[in-house]
Amino acid sequence: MTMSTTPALRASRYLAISPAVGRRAFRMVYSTRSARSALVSDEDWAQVQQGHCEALPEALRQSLLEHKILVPEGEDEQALVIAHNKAAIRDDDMLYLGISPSANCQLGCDYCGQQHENKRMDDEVMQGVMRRAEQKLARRQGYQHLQIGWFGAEPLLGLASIRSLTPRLQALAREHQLDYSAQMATNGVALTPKLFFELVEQHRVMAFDITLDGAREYHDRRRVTKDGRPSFDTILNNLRGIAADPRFAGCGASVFIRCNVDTRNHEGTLALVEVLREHDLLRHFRFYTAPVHSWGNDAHLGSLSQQRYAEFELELMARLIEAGQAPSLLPKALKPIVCMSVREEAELIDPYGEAFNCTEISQVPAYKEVRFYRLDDVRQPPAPVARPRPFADWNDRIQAGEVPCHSCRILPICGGKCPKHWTDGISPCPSIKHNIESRLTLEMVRLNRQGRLVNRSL
Amino acid sequence: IATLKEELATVELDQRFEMVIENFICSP
Repeated sequence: MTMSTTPALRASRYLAISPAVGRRAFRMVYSTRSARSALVSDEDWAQVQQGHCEALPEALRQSLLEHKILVPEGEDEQALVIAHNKAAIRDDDMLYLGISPSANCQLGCDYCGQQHENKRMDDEVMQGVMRRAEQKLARRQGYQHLQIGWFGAEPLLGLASIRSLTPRLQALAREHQLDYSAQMATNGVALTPKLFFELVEQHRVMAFDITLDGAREYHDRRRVTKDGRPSFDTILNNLRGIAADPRFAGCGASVFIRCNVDTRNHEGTLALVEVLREHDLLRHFRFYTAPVHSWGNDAHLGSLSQQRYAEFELELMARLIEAGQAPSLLPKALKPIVCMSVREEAELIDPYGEAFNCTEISQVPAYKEVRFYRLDDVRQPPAPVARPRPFADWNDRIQAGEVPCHSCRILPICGGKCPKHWTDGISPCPSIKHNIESRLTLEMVRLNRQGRLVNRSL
Repeated sequence: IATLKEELATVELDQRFEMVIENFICSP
């Protein structure tokens, strides 16, 4: 009698499965452990569900195993996911530093949690930033990239500091043979085309995140200047000028247009998409929405519920596909490093010289007396050994079941989303947790429109 | 979505099977 050498297989616990579609029913099966998907006939998938993986054709079984849609019986998948996350943090080859060069902002958005004042990062703090970066590069081997995130308040109000720090940071990267790149979250008010190309070409800012909270009537209800003046037209004109410049197509920079959504503006999102289409901006920039969240305040109380936001987002994605756009439907990569706070040396340094392990603490009154997130004052002589970081044990906490991510099937593509929000008692679960099956359906629609499926009605 | 899903009513797999920013500042 010959014993089979094929290990017994079962369906992974980290799957999302679409409803059946098509003339002969088939489904899309997406593995959150591999961020890959397969189209499988209903007949074959029924074999998997009934525990008869051995009945599948060899080629199908091997492909599903390779993509982690099927896994060996007895495999401890959660332990492997957690181990993968920890290895990614240990082997991280990018030093990521957030820098807030200004404590001020032109706008007074009503959901912003920050308290602004007219303060720019001074020479003493900038020297501290450089000391800090040098120390980090000396303390931990294996870095290949230095990535700077210009953040705020509004970073462009600290432009002099950006112009002063960038050449020094670029020289430091060269000295350590690192790639250098930067990104910027800006309100876009001061981002003229001239300044945009200076930032890209001289300061290597290669990704920009700019907020428009709906069409003009929605945006200008809440993203207004401190003295109540509108900002929509200024930002839109800047975006139009950037897109119209012949240098943009080849410059390699990404521009993301973000729309923060809550109960007050979700109905204005489509109108914004229309405005962006009308000005041909969707061809150049990537549009996305995000739920308004707590920033040390009660802003999340005006947000849509997670379920309702997920439904809103699906409708928006469907509209974008119908309009010939390509919204991001499914993650194409895993998320083993959830955010800055779990990286061994990443931090945000604010204009006062304080270093935090999270971007959402500085200038937020609710956290003024909270020491948990503070790492150091960069103006002081550096300590020889880095102090223990909050959330360094984040993956252990997931594994121990301290947060619901422990048993969540999207853990590998989410990572736990936001350790700070869980700590604050607020669930930060992303929309994909609630709408992934419908996203799979939309992905099949897109494949069909690309001619990847066979249409028997033709 | 329901409207778009109707586009899939008549499609088939060509073979037996086929292998096919929100945290902007928190991550590189």
